[in-house]
Amino acid sequence: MKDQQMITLPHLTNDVVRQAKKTKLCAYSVALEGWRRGLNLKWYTKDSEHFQDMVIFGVNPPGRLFSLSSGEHTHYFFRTRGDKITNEAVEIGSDKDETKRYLLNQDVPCPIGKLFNGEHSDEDIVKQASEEIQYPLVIKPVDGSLGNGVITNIRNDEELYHALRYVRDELGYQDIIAERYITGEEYRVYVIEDEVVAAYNRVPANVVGDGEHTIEQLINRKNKERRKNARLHSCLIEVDIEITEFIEKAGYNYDSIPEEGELIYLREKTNVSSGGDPIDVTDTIPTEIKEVAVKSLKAVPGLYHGGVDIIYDENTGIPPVVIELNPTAQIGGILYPSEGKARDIPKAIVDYYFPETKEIDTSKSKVYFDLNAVLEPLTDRSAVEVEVSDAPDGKLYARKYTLKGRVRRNSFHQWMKEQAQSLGLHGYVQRSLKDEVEVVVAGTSREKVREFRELLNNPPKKVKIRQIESDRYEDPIKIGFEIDEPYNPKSFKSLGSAIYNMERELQKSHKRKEKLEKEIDKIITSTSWEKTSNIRSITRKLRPSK
Amino acid sequence: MNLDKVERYDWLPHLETSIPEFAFGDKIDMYVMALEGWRRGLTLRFVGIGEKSLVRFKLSDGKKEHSFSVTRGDLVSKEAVNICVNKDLTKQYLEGAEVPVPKGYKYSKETPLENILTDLSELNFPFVVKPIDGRRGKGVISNIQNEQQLIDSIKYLREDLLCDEFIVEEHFNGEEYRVYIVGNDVVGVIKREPANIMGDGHSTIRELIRMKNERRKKVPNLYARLIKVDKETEGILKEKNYNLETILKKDEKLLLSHKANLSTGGDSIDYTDELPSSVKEIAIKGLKCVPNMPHGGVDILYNEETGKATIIEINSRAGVGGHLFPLEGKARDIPKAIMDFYFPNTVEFKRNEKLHFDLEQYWNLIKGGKAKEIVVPNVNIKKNKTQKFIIETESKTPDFRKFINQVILKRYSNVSITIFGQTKIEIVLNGEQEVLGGLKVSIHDFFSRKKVEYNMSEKEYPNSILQGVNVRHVAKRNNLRKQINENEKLRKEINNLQDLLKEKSNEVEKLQTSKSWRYTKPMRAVMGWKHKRN
Repeated sequence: MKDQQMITLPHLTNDVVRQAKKTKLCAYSVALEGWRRGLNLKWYTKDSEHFQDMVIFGVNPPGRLFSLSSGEHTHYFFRTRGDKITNEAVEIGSDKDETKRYLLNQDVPCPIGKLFNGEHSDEDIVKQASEEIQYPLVIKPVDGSLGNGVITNIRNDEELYHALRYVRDELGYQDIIAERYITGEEYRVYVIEDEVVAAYNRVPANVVGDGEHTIEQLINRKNKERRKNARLHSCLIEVDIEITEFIEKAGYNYDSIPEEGELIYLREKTNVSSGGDPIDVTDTIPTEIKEVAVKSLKAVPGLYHGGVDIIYDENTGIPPVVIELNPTAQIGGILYPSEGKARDIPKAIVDYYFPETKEIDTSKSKVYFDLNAVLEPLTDRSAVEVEVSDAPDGKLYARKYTLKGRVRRNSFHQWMKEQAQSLGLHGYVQRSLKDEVEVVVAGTSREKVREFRELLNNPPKKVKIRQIESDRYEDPIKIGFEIDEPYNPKSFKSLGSAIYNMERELQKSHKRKEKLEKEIDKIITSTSWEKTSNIRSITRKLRPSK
Repeated sequence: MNLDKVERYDWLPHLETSIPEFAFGDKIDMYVMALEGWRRGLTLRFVGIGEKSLVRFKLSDGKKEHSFSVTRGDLVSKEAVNICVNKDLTKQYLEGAEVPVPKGYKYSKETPLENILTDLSELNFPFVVKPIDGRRGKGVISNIQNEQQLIDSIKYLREDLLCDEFIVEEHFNGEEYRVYIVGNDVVGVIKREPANIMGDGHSTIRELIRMKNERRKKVPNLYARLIKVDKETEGILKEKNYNLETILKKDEKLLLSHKANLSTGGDSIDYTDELPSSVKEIAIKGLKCVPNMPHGGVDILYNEETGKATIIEINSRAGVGGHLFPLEGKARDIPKAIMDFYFPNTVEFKRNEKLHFDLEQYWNLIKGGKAKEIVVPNVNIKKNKTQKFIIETESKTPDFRKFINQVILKRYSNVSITIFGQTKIEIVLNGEQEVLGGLKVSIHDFFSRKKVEYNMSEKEYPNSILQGVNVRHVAKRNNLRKQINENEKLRKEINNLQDLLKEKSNEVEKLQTSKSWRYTKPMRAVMGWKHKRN
């Protein structure tokens, strides 16, 4: 894996997206882009009237529904999908059989296949599929998502029975599609009208051997790497029956030690959410793929932007085949690929909806908002709509001051907050359990930041600042001003980790204490110390007094 | 002094359990106003205005929306607000409508002192001096008895308060009343008494002030308006030959200030039924003479003996706390009257008195510069009930969190949950009958699926609960507190030990270079050898 910093977009560092995971990341990245351009950003719960007519799903907890507004016009978004896309288009896209009908209508190649519903027995399916479609096969649920229940490369009746039992009985998807399995590289292409904005290649979950470690160890190591990636850290390779069976098929088990450089795939399916690696190929994909992608999006009326899944094998001469359309495509993979370069789909989407803001460059922006805080009232249902405070207009100057001395008073921290806010500054006070406090202030006016610094020369009574260290502050700035506790007394998670940290600290302290006591003990009880005490007191007396 | 009586003194029942501590103090007026509208089923949104994120709210019935700044709605015109803010302008309008006002004049920065004194020679002492745009009695100096005091007061205003424009007028001998008017009706009158204490024959003045302040702390609008001992108080005490340690006789009432403002420690006593209608008429006339001012508070001085009254101020953002939580007398529902006026089609609506909202959360988000608008979910004004379910499990179960995430957060709003460790959980839910029944089914389904044995009891819950989902975790927070304390203790111990260690090491170092150490070397060698053998 290449150094993540080189790949990531500079304005979407891990710090900025820390609070957004999976599909929340999709929504957040688009919302953030619009907000940074000066558009008004509102978040909603599913109960909001604005989304009653939009096809939405999986919207709890909140953080997937938002609107951007320029004052003149407002657009509503569900994740990456905006309100220009019609509900019909969404419905077609989420029904794999319908998708295919529309694609074939416009001569877009897709794999031959057949739809089976609850009335078909497994026997019917095996009989018809093996005759009409022929092996190898793929089966997938009609309305599944995120690659759930997709079984690929089914080579014979026995495997098909096995797969059907799993998907229909265990997972409960009665309606399935059986399709010809097409080999080749899988590409996910993001298209906005006529333009391919990004493309990435998805490689199934895999590990590369080093001749020393077992497959299990290699998976753990890979997961450690994935944790560093803002998108992949929530999509670790999770060992399940599918992986077990897959590697067994290839003649391995978890204790096998692959040779150095040996690439071992762990699954057939390539979804990032099931451990796959996204690799940016935007600059290198063949034009055939681009053409098919644009054409297939056009085939569905009202689908102006979205993701297209394509399989293509350059060596066979067979044209690219479209296997799926995603009106609500996930873009985390291309924002944080494992290789290549991150592509700014949020920018392209906001450009499309608000072309008048196209010129506003946010690529150097270091400002973001407190997503969790803004979503909190929506999550606990004490609000149906929250509008985020405006993004600061212009470049931010930021300083970090570390104050040492008698600086732990809450009233002092509140005072700093008030001062910062009345100067229109953003930032935070970070409390610690020591006699030290860190304060960061940022604003569009250098003057105001300086004013704040001067205020620190005359802190309120009872506060004694012994020392002020001043540093540049380069990290992203969260708007608003807050006082950070070492823990948040309202959150389960924060409480839990605070307790955990405290327990560890406590243990360390105990050890430290024991060690100190021992050392002191050694000195005091060392027999010679005792024995010489008389002599010492005598010599002390003999010493000329100063 | 019966504290319980004061706490409960004739508050409006629907406000008794619905005012969170956060709303106490200067936020109380905004809170009760927003609550009144919201409980009727109106859509409530809080908005932040400007760089300092001032918090305002808006109410809407779907067709029209009104915005409010504390108690003042948008039907009060900007012009009216400007008139009220300027005491001289107010007076001009009142005089124009032949409403009685105290005799006096306005002066600016430039007016020489001599001119002022000549002017005023035709008026009679005592005088009152007040800044033209002062609020809450700030800078008002009353009971000015002679020329010297007048000169001092003007000097104080000009030099200490940097006040450019002020009014000097005759002191009107009377008591101060606040008359709240909506439309053509007086909806509440409170008599405002200056800060005062009542002797009990054994407590000192200091103690009586403290006791009175304790009482005030329990009243939402007086919470932060305690009696302070300032120069004025000291002057009054001195005049009477008292000091703070003086024991006041039983039933002796001692005024501690000349100002009757609640913010300077004054009391509010309901007088709605007692104030003569002739005085009320004057107040109504006073409000009416300000253009586009359909509601507001009129400050009036009234002398019971002479029957004379005079208007001293009109407030466009008058507080309603004094009427809602009077220290004596009956509470008057001013927020209701104002909302009736703004949304006449909701007069008949029955308000949902079982829910209130979490102002703190909205306030912090807006004030913290994170959000600029928050829409509160509408309340259900259909028949609803609040029920408390207590679930106790036989054995420890770690599943309460899952229960909240998977069941409560997905399906229920308006529920307060308290988790007591791993064996007990209390759920207080507000909703229609079907919703309450639904929860019981959910509880049963969830715990039987998890194969957790449990006992459940339920009873009706009489108090108002917070809207939304609120989870409190009793045991854990205590744990954390304990941890923090223990950590703190250890840190101190370690510091002490480190100091001790330093001290000892220094001593050792000193000793090693000392003669005695060198002399005992052979001895130590022997002992060390012995030591090793042991």
